[in-house]
Amino acid sequence: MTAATIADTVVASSDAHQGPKPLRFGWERMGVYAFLIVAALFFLLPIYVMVATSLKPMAEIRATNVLMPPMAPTIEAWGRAWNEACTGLNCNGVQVGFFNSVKIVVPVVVLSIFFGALNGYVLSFWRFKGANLVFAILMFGAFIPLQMVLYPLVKVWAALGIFGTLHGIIAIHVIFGLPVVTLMYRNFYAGLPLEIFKAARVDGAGFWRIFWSVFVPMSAPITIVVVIWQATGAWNDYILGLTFGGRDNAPMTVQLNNIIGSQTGEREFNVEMAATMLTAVVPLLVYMVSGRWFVRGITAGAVKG
Amino acid sequence: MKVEARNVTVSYGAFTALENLNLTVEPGQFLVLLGPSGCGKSTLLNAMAGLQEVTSGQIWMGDKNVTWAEPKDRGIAMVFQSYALYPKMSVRENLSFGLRVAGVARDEIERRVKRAAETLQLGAMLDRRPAELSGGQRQRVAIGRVLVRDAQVFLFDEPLSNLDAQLRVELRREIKRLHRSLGATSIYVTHDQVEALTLADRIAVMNKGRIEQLGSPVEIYERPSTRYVAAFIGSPAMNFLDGVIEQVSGKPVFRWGNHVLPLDRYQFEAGAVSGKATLGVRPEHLVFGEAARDQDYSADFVVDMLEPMGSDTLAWCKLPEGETLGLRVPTEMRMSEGDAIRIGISAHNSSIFDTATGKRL
Repeated sequence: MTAATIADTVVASSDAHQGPKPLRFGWERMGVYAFLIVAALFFLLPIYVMVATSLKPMAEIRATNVLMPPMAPTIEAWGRAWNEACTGLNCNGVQVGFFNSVKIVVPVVVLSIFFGALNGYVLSFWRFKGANLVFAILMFGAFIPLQMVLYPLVKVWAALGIFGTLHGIIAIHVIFGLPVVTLMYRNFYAGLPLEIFKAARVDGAGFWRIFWSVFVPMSAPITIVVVIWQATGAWNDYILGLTFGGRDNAPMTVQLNNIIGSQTGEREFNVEMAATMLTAVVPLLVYMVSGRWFVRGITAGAVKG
Repeated sequence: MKVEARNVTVSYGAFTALENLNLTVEPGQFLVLLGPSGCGKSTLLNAMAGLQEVTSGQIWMGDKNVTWAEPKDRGIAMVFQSYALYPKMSVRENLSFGLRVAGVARDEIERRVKRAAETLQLGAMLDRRPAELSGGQRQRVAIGRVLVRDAQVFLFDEPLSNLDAQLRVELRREIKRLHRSLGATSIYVTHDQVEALTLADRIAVMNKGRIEQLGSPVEIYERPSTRYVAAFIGSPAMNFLDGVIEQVSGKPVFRWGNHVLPLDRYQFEAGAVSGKATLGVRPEHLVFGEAARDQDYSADFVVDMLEPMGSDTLAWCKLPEGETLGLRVPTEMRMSEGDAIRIGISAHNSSIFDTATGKRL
């Protein structure tokens, strides 16, 4: 293209134009908003039904449409779900499962952070012969379908005498979470300047001192991601809890399933909905409180701060 | 303390970063390792620091073989290009980290941090985090971290490369002053020839894992031992003319086209061997105007292009045959493109290289 034709394409505009260009609300934008609203309704409607139902007495549930708002909201069903809901013959409510889940999730998160950060630190800074192979195997571990190893693991755990114990279920969660958590920490550390590590070595710090004094304090953004990832993952887990938890350590998800599946007589929809909401409330809170940090932590590696 | 690299080779798989390299840095000396990126200068520094394992050879500090020693056991302190400050520690904690690791008494740490902070004017910033400091202040802290350690050898890995031009000049002067007052052996890696020339007692110009020339800044500038060194040092860069060395009535001359430069006054390093050669002459050594006629060679050129650089103007001048030379003229001469100019070359401050090997003749 010659200079003359480029000059011809410059369109003269009004002399009145100045300052920021005014926003326009066109058809494209309307379409986008319409889609977003429909998508939001799609996800919000079931939640609305659950909350509304849990706040109604049984008589009202039987008499009215599921979409109707509760006429006289009561949290009685929530109290019953927490304290009295029955699993078979035990009627102690979902609180049993709740505290079981807490006892599993808290150690799982703490141990995952510790071992994941340590693995990532070694793989990023203390390169050893075969480090790439170890990393490749770890990555393979991240993609192994759980069902494939479930049976052998049960046998091994039984042989070790930790099958059905709290320690056993915690260990299995930590081990299955470790490949992804290690990957997260490794990628985070790989984004940090290697010179910081070198400076710490010249300063005379050893393996553990560099880890605790230099890199652990810098790891907050990725640790938030790992906390969310592992806490929601372990809380929402069903199959590991069902298989390895045994009778005494069944997590909340397993207990919820038992409550809903084993009821005899009239189904108490309001109690079931309340129990489900109680089970979902922990991951929901984790997302709502830390969602912003989650996104920030995931992108923290890309943009150095 | 004396620092030595003895037959050091570093290779990564098939790639050889350093090849059988020998280098001795005398106690108290300021040695600059100069070269383009990928020439092996940082690898050599890291090998001396103990941050890079050598494939073969030895590193000596004083009279001790430290080839297998940890960085902390080498009596060194190091400044990095990216400052490498610990982001979650305050300036005070950054300065004292090495001392705390070494278990130095608390009042001694306090004393040394205070002294370093005074030297580098960091007193008001001791409780700030690195993120709250400017680039120049961060690099000051990094230098301070070196000062508190009372090390005998200072290693600098392109410490000024991340700073803007003005700060670079300022900190360069500060580093020079520090070296003068402390007298510690210093090894400084840079790709900036001006830094090298201003700071160094000795410069080692590196190329492809080898030391191309080791000498004082003046030697390197005036008598570059290879064409590579000649081209790397000096800004604007040296002019090169390809031609031949011939004997005319028993005396050596340099001839290109139908131009002849008598070499009576040239100090040959290797002797005047006839054959293909390259003449190198710095822009600031070309003589112009009437004085050009007194030089060993002179000819009429035409000014082809001007690049004003403030005090000087770089004038690119052409022979009718097409050869171009760059020379420095004072800006107040108000030269314009198309002007005729007489340019003279003097043999004694020129360099002649064997075209094939690049070695100085």
